[in-house]
Amino acid sequence: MKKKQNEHKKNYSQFDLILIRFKKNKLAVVSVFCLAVIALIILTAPLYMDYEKAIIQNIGDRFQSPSWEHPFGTDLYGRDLLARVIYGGRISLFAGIAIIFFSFIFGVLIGAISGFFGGKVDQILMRFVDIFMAVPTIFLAMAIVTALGEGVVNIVIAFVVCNIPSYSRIVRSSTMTLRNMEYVEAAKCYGASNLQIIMKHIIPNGIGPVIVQATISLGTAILCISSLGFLGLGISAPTPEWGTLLADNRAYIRYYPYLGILPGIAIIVTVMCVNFIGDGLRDALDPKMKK
Amino acid sequence: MSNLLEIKDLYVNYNTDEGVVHALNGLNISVEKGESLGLVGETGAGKTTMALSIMKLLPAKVGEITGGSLVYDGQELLSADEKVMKKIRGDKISMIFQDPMSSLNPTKTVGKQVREVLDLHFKNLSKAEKQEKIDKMFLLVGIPPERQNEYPFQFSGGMKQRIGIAMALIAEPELLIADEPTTALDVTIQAQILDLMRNLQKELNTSLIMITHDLGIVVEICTKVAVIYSGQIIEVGSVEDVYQKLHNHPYTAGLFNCIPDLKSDAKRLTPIKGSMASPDNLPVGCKFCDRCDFKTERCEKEEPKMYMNGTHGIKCFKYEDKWGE
Amino acid sequence: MLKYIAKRLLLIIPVVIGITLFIYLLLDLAPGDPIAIILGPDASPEQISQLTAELGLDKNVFVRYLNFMSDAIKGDLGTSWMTSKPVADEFLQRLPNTLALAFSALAMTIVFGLTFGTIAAVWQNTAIDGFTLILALLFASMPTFWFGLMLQIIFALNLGWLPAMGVGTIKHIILPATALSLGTIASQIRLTRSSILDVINMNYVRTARAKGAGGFRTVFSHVIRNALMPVVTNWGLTFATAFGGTIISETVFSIPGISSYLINAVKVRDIPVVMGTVIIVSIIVAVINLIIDIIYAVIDPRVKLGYMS
Repeated sequence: MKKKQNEHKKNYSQFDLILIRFKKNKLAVVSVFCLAVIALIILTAPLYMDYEKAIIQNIGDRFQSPSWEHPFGTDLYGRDLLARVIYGGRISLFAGIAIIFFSFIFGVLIGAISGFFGGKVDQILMRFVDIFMAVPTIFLAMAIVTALGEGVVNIVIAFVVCNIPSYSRIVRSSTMTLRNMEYVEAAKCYGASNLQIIMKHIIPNGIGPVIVQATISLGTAILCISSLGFLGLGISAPTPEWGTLLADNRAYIRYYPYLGILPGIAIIVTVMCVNFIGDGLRDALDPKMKK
Repeated sequence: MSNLLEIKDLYVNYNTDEGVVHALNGLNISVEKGESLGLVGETGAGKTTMALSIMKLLPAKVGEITGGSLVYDGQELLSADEKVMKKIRGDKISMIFQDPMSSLNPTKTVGKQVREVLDLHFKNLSKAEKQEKIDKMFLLVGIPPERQNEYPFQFSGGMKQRIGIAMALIAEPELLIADEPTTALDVTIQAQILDLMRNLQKELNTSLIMITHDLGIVVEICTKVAVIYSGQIIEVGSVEDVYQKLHNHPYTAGLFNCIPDLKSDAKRLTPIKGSMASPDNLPVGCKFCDRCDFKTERCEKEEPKMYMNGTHGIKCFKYEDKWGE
Repeated sequence: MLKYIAKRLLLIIPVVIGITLFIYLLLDLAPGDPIAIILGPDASPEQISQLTAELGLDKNVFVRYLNFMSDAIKGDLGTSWMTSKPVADEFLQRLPNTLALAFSALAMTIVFGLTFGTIAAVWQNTAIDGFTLILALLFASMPTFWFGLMLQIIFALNLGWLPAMGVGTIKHIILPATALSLGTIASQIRLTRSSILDVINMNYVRTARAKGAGGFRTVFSHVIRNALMPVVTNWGLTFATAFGGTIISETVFSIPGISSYLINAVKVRDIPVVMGTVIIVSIIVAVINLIIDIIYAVIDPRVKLGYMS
């Protein structure tokens, strides 16, 4: 309904408003805090925990239930499960971030070029995008891993290739909408250059959905990496990784439930935090969705 | 003549994230049978809110009627339940909306959308009878009946508004509320639609509330005028009363000054200074006082009553001594 | 309409050519010698040169690609380097299991996603809504393999209600499909909810209410069909996701679908198998997307009339 703009209220910048709206979402704020703690634990792991603990086998100590000495218990080779979960998180989280970072850059670049210039350039770029969108992510990733071989870097490359299309689609469509906006026309009329228009109008107004997509796909990326690990295609033993460590202990989870539950919770909590943040960001960037 | 609709002291709030917005603040108005009332006011004055309040279609959970009474044909609507309202809406009171582009369902043929009113309120009509009524209505609003199997996107804006009118009139309602029905249309189409509405209103003897911000439209169609400001009626009277310009509320006078007059020598139009008081932070006294040239100290502290002279009423202390209450 | 379908089917061709060419070239660049994979380390030079000629490895990569594709069109996807069996035969034998799983997951996603999404939207901002949304987010955050393992342990191994692995009956498919559809159900719920809320606030819904339509009638005759549009569009993506996810679900529940075939092929770089899988998968996904587009046209008159003319 008709609501009057409140003139007497303070003039907030766009960024302030986004921040204010984001802060209203308690779950998202708690998630930022949680994710920060998780990242800190994972990042500083070498300072308080030997990597050795995560990889050296000690069959005599296998299947020890969670205790003070082994808070998450030990796995089938007697390795400390907490150490494996923490060091495993390094791969999942940082590979995930790397995937998002590179997909973001390439996606925005391709999408912006395609959307802003349109015509032939757009046609050609979008045909490529179509091609990569034709195959489900995990199949494409597996094919690329086949070619490049296993290992963290190759997995990152595989998922970046898989992610670029969806990013560039989003960027392209918002660029195309923005390009025809009247304020862009207006900017052209008073003589702004292409670069000025892109920097001042297109990017600030079009970046929102991409940031949301990036945040949400970080969760997906973490899940995908661990899925490949679970299939035995990601990281080779004995390097710990969330998917592989579940696959290793798979046969014993029934008898030692902590082997499955604790690493599972680690993955779920991390991904959930990311998703809550993504949700909060989306609501903050697009206030109309909230009502 | 008796009043078909009588609104007394109506208060409506919108509870938004940013706080409570006072949309209607003690609104009084009545409409007689067969009468056509023009409700004039600027954006945000509460025109649409009033219309939706009558239909009890304020946005759920956000819009709230906090006080007053709304009597339609002897029945208090504010205490009426949804079942009663369902029978009234579309049958007794119907509404034409501002934006014809978005007011029609894009996935239903226009014929079906008009028929829905008959399905809801004329259950005992046979299929053929309904079809006959629809065909007649389409002819009446100037759309070839054979186009009723088309979808809204196949029609122009003016055509869509004609369909909106057909939908509003097919049940031959007693009261028709038209919420800026021509604002979204071209001027030439505007004239056609107004013509159509005027004829239909006479033919069917429907009472009409024409909501608009255009004083010109009122004089063309209406017999009675009410000026709304900050959710209150500040001036009411017959078209003659108001358009004579002998006695007007300072706001109404300001509105007239904003219309170009070919007979006048003035080089420039005189706009009303300032803008409407924010509905979440209203003045205690007269809601217009901050923009008024005749403001006294009293205006800021005390709200004027509606002072009457025959059919003409003005809510301003200027008329306190001249006119009665 | 038929013309449109034919046109869309033709459009699949360049996509398949593009994706296969990309993967063929990529796999060609891959380190590792297929001859060594097939013959093992003890092969004689004669054997090696003979096999090289047989596989056409002495020819240019583009020539090999063309040969591969012309065979593929005839239905011959080559033979697996590992098992020496025709890829097409083995693949088609396994495909029904995978498709059954993927379609079950799609069906579950549509049924549960629409139901709970509508419930959440109708009771917007209540406890039911909040609970549904948080649960959906929790589901979206669970790895399929973990949830599958948990389901298997609880419902099959401990409670014994359902079979833990393999295929055969409807019962066999319940757990794998549940594990698989969890994430897609979550996103379907969220999409349905937001789409319905968008439509509920549309002016034409208010028009319907002004005509005297009750809440129930308004939702069923005005809201749902319009709200379905973005949801239906998403079914294509849902199917692709579910189809991809079968790899994991099949691994957890030991289902003899295409996953174990593909995983082993990836591990040993059995290129004909990988190529064949990618070709068939991309065709299946494209056809499903086409079907969904046709469903969409049924819902949206603008699209339907667009096709007619």
